[in-house]
Formats: sequence, C-alpha cells, structure tokens
Amino acid sequence: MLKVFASFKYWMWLLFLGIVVLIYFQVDSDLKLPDQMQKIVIAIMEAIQSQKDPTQMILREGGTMLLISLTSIVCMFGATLLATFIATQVGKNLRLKVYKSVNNFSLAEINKFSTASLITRTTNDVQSVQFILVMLLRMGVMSPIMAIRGLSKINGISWQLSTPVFVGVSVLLTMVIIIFIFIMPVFKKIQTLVDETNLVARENLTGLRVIRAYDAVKPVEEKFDNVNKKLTKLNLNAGNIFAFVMPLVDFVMQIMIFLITYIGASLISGNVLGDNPIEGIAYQATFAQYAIRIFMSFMFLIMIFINFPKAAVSAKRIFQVVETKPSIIQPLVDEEILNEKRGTIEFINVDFKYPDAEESVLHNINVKISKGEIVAFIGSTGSGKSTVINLIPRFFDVSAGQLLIDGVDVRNLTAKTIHSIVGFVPQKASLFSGTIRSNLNLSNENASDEEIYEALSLAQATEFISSLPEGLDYHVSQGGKNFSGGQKQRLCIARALVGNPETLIFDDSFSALDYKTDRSLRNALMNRKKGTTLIIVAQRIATILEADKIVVLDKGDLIDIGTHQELLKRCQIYQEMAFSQLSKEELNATN
Amino acid sequence: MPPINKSSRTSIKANDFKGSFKKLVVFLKPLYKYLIVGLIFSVLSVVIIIIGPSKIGIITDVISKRIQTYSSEHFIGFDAEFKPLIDWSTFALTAGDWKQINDVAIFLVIMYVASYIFGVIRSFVSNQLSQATAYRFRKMLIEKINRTPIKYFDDNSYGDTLSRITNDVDNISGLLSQAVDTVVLNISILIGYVIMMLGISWELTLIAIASVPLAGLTMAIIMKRSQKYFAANQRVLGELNGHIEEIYSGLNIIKVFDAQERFETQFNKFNTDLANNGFKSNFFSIVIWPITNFINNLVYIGVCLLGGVLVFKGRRTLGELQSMIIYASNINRPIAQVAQISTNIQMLIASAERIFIFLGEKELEKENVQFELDPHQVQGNVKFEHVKFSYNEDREIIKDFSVEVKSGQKIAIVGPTGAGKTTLVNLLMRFYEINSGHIYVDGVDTHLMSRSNVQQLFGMVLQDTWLFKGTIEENLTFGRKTPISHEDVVRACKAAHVHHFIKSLSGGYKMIIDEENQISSGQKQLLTIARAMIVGSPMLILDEATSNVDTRTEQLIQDAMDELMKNRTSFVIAHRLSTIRNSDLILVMNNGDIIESGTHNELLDKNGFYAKLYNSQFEGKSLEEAI
Repeated sequence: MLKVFASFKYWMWLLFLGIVVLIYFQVDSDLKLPDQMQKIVIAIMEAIQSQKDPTQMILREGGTMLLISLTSIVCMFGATLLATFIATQVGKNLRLKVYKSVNNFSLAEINKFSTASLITRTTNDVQSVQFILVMLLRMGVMSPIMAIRGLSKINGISWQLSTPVFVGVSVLLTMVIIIFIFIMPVFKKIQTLVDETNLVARENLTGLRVIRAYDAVKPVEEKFDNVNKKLTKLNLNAGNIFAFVMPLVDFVMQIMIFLITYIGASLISGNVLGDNPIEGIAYQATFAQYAIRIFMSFMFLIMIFINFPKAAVSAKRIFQVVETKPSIIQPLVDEEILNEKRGTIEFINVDFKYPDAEESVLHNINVKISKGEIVAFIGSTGSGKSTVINLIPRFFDVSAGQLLIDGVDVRNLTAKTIHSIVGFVPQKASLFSGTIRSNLNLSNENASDEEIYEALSLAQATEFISSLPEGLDYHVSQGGKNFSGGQKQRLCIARALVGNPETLIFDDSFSALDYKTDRSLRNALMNRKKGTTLIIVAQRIATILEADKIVVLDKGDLIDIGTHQELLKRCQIYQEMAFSQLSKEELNATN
Repeated sequence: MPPINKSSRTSIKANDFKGSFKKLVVFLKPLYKYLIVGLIFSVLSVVIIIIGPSKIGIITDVISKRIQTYSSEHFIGFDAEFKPLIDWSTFALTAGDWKQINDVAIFLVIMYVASYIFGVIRSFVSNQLSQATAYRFRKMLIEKINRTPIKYFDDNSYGDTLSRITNDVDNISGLLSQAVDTVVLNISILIGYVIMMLGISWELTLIAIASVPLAGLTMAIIMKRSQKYFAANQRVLGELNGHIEEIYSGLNIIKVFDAQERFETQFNKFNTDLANNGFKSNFFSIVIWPITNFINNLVYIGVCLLGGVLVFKGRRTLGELQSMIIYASNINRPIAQVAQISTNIQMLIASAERIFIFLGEKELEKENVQFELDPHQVQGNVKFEHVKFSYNEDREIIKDFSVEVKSGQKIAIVGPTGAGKTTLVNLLMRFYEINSGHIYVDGVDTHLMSRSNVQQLFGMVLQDTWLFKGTIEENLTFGRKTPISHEDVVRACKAAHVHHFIKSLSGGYKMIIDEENQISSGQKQLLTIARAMIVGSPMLILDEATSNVDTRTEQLIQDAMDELMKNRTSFVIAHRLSTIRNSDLILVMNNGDIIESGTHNELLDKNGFYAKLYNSQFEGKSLEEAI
C-alpha cells in the first residue's frame, strides 16, 4: 500500500496538502459549532434571567453559527473533490501501469499469473485500492485531526467526565478485536463454501446432458442442497455474531452520553464544573458534543482499519505485476540483416525449458529452413511441436543454442522487425471486437480493400464475407463469438496474409476446417505465395503430405527430417502416426 | 461491518422496477414472519431512540430549574454591566432533584439495555430473512436449471446462469436486510421525531418539517446525478473489462502484428472515461452528507430563534427546547440515509429481476407417460419415422427423416464440423423435442415415455468428458441405479483400458478428481467409457476421440469403445474412416441436415457429398500415390 503512495505524482502531494488544510479548517469549524450552539442556549438562559428579549442575541450568534457551518461545508466540498480526484487519477495511472506492464510480458509471465488473474488485477484490484484511497484521504485525514482536537478540547475540563469517553472508546476497540478474532475464520470458511457452491452449480450446468442421460437430477440437486445448507448455516452464524456486536456500538455511545450527563449533574451540583452552575451546564453539553465526535472519529478509523487489509492485498497484487521484469528484453536496434539470408530460419542446437520447470521441453533441435520452403512439424501431444514454432516470433526465448531469423539471432532483432518478417496464425483463432476490417488490417493499418480481399480469397473466406451485408465493416463481437470456428480460423489466416510477411507460421491452424476447405486453402497458398516460407504444425498427416521437409518430433527430441515418402519408409514414429490416422486398411485399400 | 461498496457488481438498473419489486414482495411472502418481527422490533427500537433525548433533557431541566430558584434566592445585586450577581457558593441539587434525576437515569439505563436487545433481535431476524431468501433462491435456481430445456443453455452462456446463482443471489442476501432495515427504521424514526416534536411544540415542528421538502429535493437532485454517473461508471467498467480480457488473452497476436499502440489508444479512452465517471459518481455520493448537515444547521438556528422566544415568554422550558433542538436538527438524517441506499435498492431489484427472468424461462414440456421400458429388457430396435425438427421456427433442420435401425447395429454419423451431428444426439436423448414424426424404441413411441426413461436407455460417451469433483469411483458409478461391487467397477475399468491408469494415480480409485489434477482428455474419455459400461444402458451414443489425443491413447479409446459397443445398438459420431466403413449405416450430415444415408459402398456409388468428403483427403489421387 505504501507503494501506492510512492506512486503519487508531485501535484498529487500538493493536492493532498490542500486536503489536509481544508480538512483542518473543516474540523475546526465542526468543533466550533457545538460551542456556538451552546452560546445560543446560554444566550437564551441569560436572557430569561435578565428578562431581555433574546431574539437579537440569537440572530447574531445564529448568523455566526451559519457562517461557521458554511465554512465547514465549503471545506468539506473542497476536500472531497480533491480526495476523489486524486483517488480516481491514481486508479487511472495504476491501471495504465498494469496494462503497459502486461503488454511487455512474454508468454512466460502471462502463464505465471494467468490471464484471468491479470484481468482482475487491472480492474477489480485497482478499484478496491481506489476505494480505500478515497476513504484514507478523507476519513483517514479527518479522524486523527478530529480526535486530537477533540481530546485537547476536553482535556483538563474534568477527569470525571473524560472517564466515560475513554471507557467508550476502549470498549469500541475491544469489540473490533473480538470481531476480528471470531469472524475472520468464519469468513475464510464461508469463502471456501462459496467456491464449493459455485463448483457444484457449474458442474450441474456443464454436465446437464450427462446428468439427464444418467437420470441423476435428484442426486445432483441433493448435493447442491447440501452445500447450500452448509453455506446458509455458516452465513447465519457469521451474521448472528454481527447481530450481537453491531447494536453494541449504539449502546456504548448512548451510555457514554448518559454518563457524561449524569456525572455532569453531580459535578454541577458540587459546584466543581466551571465557575458557576450556568457555566457548568454549558461545559457539560459541550463535553457531550466533543465526546460524540471523538467516538465517531474512532469509528471512522475502525472502518478504514476493517477495509484496509483487503485493499493492501490488492495493492500488493497490482505491484507484483508492475514490478515483474519481462523475461524477454528487446534490443534497441536491429542487427543488420544480409539480403542473401532473407527468408531463412535456422535452429542451432536449441534447448528449451519453461521457467521453473525441471525438464527441458526441447532438446538439441537443429533445423535449417530455406527461403520459400514448406516445412511441417509433426508429433503427438507433448512432442514439443508447438513450442518449437513459438520460439520464432519470440513468445519464448531459447534456453540454450541459437535461433536465427534471416541469419540474425532473434535476440538481436527488435520486436517490430521480427513481426514484420514473420506472420503467425495461432492454434486458437482469436479475433478482437471491432469490424472485420479492423481485425484484418492489424499488421498494416493502411492496407487497401484490394489487399484485404486478396488475403481473404487466399484464405477461402471471400464467400462468407461477401454474404455479409456490411462486408468488411461487419461487426465482430468480443473474441469473435459471432463467427463459427472455421470462419474465425480463416479470418485469422487472412489476417496474417495481409501483412505480406516473408515467413508464415501456422500453428495447427487448419483443425477447425473440413477436409475440403483445408485442401483448397493449402493449394491456394502454395500456388500463389511462391517465395514465402511456410511453417506448418499439424495433427493431420493429410495436411502436410506435400511439405518439402517434415520434421518429426517426439518428447522434445528431433527424430527425423524428410519428405512424406522418405519418412514413411524409414521413420517408425511417422509410420505409426500415418497408420493410425489413415488406418492400415485405408493405406492398403484400392490396391 | 462488511464493506458495502463492491465494485464488481454487474447490471445496476432494473428494466421493470415495479414488476420485479412486486415479484420480490410475493417471493418474500412465506418469510412474512421475519418481516413482521423485524418490523415490530424496528418500531420498538425507534421508540427508544426517540424518547432518549427527551429524557436526557429532563436532567438538564432539573438542574436549570434549580439554578433559577437558587439564583432568585441568592441574588446579591447587579454588577457594573447591570448583570445580576449571584452567590453560587452554596449551590447544590436537593435530594428531591436527585430523586428525579435518578428516576430518569434508571429509566434511561433500562431503555438503553432494552434498545440493545431489540437491536440484536432486529439484526438477528433480518439476518435470518436474508439468508433464508438466499437459500431459497439458490435452491429454486438449481431446480429450475434441471427443468429447463437444454436449448436454453445452448443459446445462453453458462457464465450468465452461474452469475445469477452466485452474484445476484449474493447481492440480494447482502442488500435485502440492509435495505429493509434502513428504510423501515428511518421512516419510523422520521414519524417518531414528528410525533415527539408535536408533543413539545407545534410551532417549532412546523419549522423542522418545512425543511423536509427542501432536503428531499436537494437529495433527489444529487442522487439522480450520482446514479447517472454510477450507471455510466459500471458500464465503462464492463467495457474496460471486456477490452482487457480481449487484449490479455490475445496478447501474442497483438505482438505478432505489432498493434499494441492501436489498442492502447482504445484502452486510454476507456480508462479516462472510467476515471471521470468514477470521480463524479464518488463525489456526488459523498457530498450528500455535508449538504444534509447544512440544512440541519439551518433548522437548528430556526428552532433556536423561535424556541428562544417561546422559552423567554415562558411558554416552553429550556429542557423542552433542548430536546426539540435534538429532534429538529436530526430530522433530515433519515431522508439522507434512505437516499444513500437508493442505489443499493436499485441494484437489489436489478438482481432480483435477473433471477426472476431466469425462473420465468420456458420449462420442459409436460410429459405424457403411457409406457415404460425396462432398460434390461430392451432389444435396441430404433425407428425414425418422418421426423421433422428445427431449432428455430424459420429454418427446418431435419426434413422428413426416416430410418430403421436393428438391434446391435452400428450407425455412423459423419459430416464436417458444425454440420449438426449433435442434433441427432439431442433428438435421440430427447434433449430437444421433435416437431413432428415419431421415434420408436422397440416399437414404443418415445414421446409416450418419460424423458428420464428414454434417457436411461442410452449410455453416452462424448468428447466433452464431464466429470465432477469427487473420487474416481464416485464418478464411475455416477448414474448407476443399483449398487455395484468394487470388483465389478474394476472389471469395467480393465475392459475400458483405464484400470492401470487409475492404479498409477495416488489414491487410485479413491483419488479425488478436481480442476487441479491434470488428467488428460484422453484418460478422461476412457473414464467416461468405463462409466457407460458400469451403467450398462442397452444402447449407446458415442463420440470418437479427437486428434488432440496422442496415438497410443487414441488406440486405447478405440479398443475400449469397440468393447463397449459389443451387442449394443450404437450411434457413433465418427471421425475415423475405419469406423465409418465398418458401420451398418452411415448418416451424412451437412449444414444441420441429413443429406445422405446408406452403407459405405452404397454412398460411394452414389458419388455424392460423402464420396467427395471421403476423397478430399487424398485429392483424387489414388491411395498409393498419396503414400
């Protein structure tokens, strides 16, 4: 939380100073107010004794009181304005900081935090810090000022009257401690049960078909009822503790005021309070007012205290993100690329290990890809084929060895350059909300309609785009939910093509396409993108039959490189894959 | 004191506030006893809150009367400013005064203790009320889920329904007691204040009441603004959330296309909007208090002025005036309290509305049960007769489909992704009802059986391998109606080739499956095959393994499925040519329609869609060429 304050800009500190000054005057007026109110009462009393009409007096003192009240309200307005302004600006800056940090993250850092957690950290956590900031900047400043001023005012008037105040405040503090001790463990348990309730409800939803198929609605409902009952019971318990404690706050305050009045009466009677009983009554009333304010300022402090831990955790989570150094650091300038090396990619003794992992995912990979070649990576799940190509756009860095793009180590190329050389089509087709155009011209904002349509036609997507009334301006909803899997995949392919890169990488990007589309797409690519290096990761052997090189991977090892025919003759793992997919009878059929 | 302000709350405005409010009232009807008890104790607490100040005033009154009497008795002359000089040295309250004061004191202490007890009871009851409400809502929602056609969940995201069970119910349980409490208590306080003030002086009461419309109006204006910005704030927050979700999950792509700057501009816009709206909504919701205080101070002065004159004229005592001041200067507080929670009330009703909308969704059709088939006796003859079906009224998906399947046959369903292969599963299982025609099992129209009876006849193994949190054995015996011995479970697992895998897990059959332990999708599928074996339904619906499974596991799944299919009528969503070729009947689907049916050879001879699909893998090359 301290770091949040450290992130304040200097003008925020100036405004903060303004808040302190404003709140000082606000508290000052607030404390003068009871004095002034008492003056009016005394004025009335004196007027009664001296048989004078009190109207004039009251009007005069009332005017002063109104003035004081106005000062208070203006100061409070100002302080609130500044406090909320600072808090929302801090919130805004924090969000931007987190956002920028995440944007510099590589996959390793994103995986470390998980996307969902990063989203919560950018929004909810910042909101909760902002919430506590408003509180701290107002009540946190006001309460100590008020308490100290109040205490100094009542100090020395009478220790007998002070006693109820101290007792009241101590009881209040004890209560808070008791609540913390008793309620916190219950809240922890409640949280676990809430998670469990959600889990059971989600299971019911996701398993709807299976549950109905197995005629198991009753047991599932009973299971839910079970956790529901448990949750309700615990919530009741926690609420009941509050039910006992919360009314105590009012009770303590009422008793405190009563005691001040009662003890005050005996002090007045003994002529101990003030110079005379009239003053005594005034002192007593003023005292009660201050006591209420002191009590309230402690209440505010407690409220901050209760809300603080949650916000502190949020602040910690925010700064964890901000302070995480991205594992991939870009060079400032590119190393020079030699023209004759353009279009080539070379893996030299590449090892790769995920951060914190014990074992390497890739061992000693050596592959040389020349300009215009079609190279396929194949292997079963866990073979590392996707990891290999993730190294090319530098989603991760190699742990050992070297990866050269256009003859230069990727680590010596700026992100801008790498991304202008390499086009990438991800496994999971993801689109961004906007229009088809805004998705397709991601790599080149100035791409003409002709260029976009050419890419679409290569990606076999012209047909369904032209059926849309708005064409390229058709709306894309978040994540591209309004398109089918196959359509999304084709749009992602087109998106990579618009940039016209030297090298195109397909990370298992044909899986949602049916055989026919898959076929024509590959044909179109090969025919029309001559000179472009194509790197394909695939599950289906049929997809990669005509690759120039097929790289077979197994458990992170490079097993063999060759054409389909060569591998079918000599590579056992490849044979197995081919047989299982095309099935032996299929391979031998129509003989 | 749990923090009230949660930033993550979703929609805050009800579309039909009145309607949803009424529904909520009706829903709360069975809980009326809580409401009534709460109400009674609210009123009782209020009585005490209100009487308190006037009783304290009595103490002041006693003292000031004594002062007056004393000062007239000990008057010693006037000072230079013509102020009365009084000898205070012997001033003391008399025993009679003390008796009066002590009576009041005892009364007050008793009242405060009573007030505390009432307060406890009130919080107690409102706690019961909100928890009972939450419990009932959750229970009703989950039961509703199980009575709602699958179609609803195919059209709406799970997250949406889930958030009604969790967030909305939470909102209601958190806000309901608070709202009821605040509104009832503050209205009672307001009424009580007015009554008490009238008892003292109607003139002064008028002054106090005159301020109420002023305060009400000011607050209405402020709250309206505050709510406007609050709503805007929530909206922008939602937009920002959506934007961030998109960016963070697609970060790789954004980097590859070097488009960070473009998205950052968007982010900055949302971020600035959020800060501005947050600033305004926050400011307006806080500012309500200083304004209330100022109005209260105005009332104070007014009451002092008029009251002073009244006391001066001897028509009222000073103590009465003091009590009056306390009431009058607090009269606008209840209004401010209610105004402040009005946003919460709106959120409460909005959440209630979302729940009621879901509870009002169309339910499964009433059943017309005339037959019941014993799963153990069923042969497995299935007949489709002129079946027509459409998901939406405007597009018929299955047009007049008829086919007869004999006991023990294997039917392959093929077609490109998204062709609607699951439609057929949906119809067979009666997850969706056909529009016209009949589906017979062993000659009995399934429409004349109960849905659960129809569903009992089919075992299901889908790619979406649903398992729940619980031990492996609990998962395996899920849906089994009669008890089964552990040995039989193990036997089935051996047949499903999953026994060794289970044995390799820590805890074996007793291991608890949850999201953390990484069971691969292939192993999960094997587990669901074993589950289907254990339930032992006479017919099967299977979805073959996807390409996401490694070669060895794929082989295991295939073997296990073959084992499972023995002697059972099976409908297989097929991906493998070998399965398709060996099946007794192939249903070819495209664009949600069954376009061809027949055996492999028949369909090849037809040279239609199936033949094209089949050949596309090899692009017209002969298979040797392809190899």
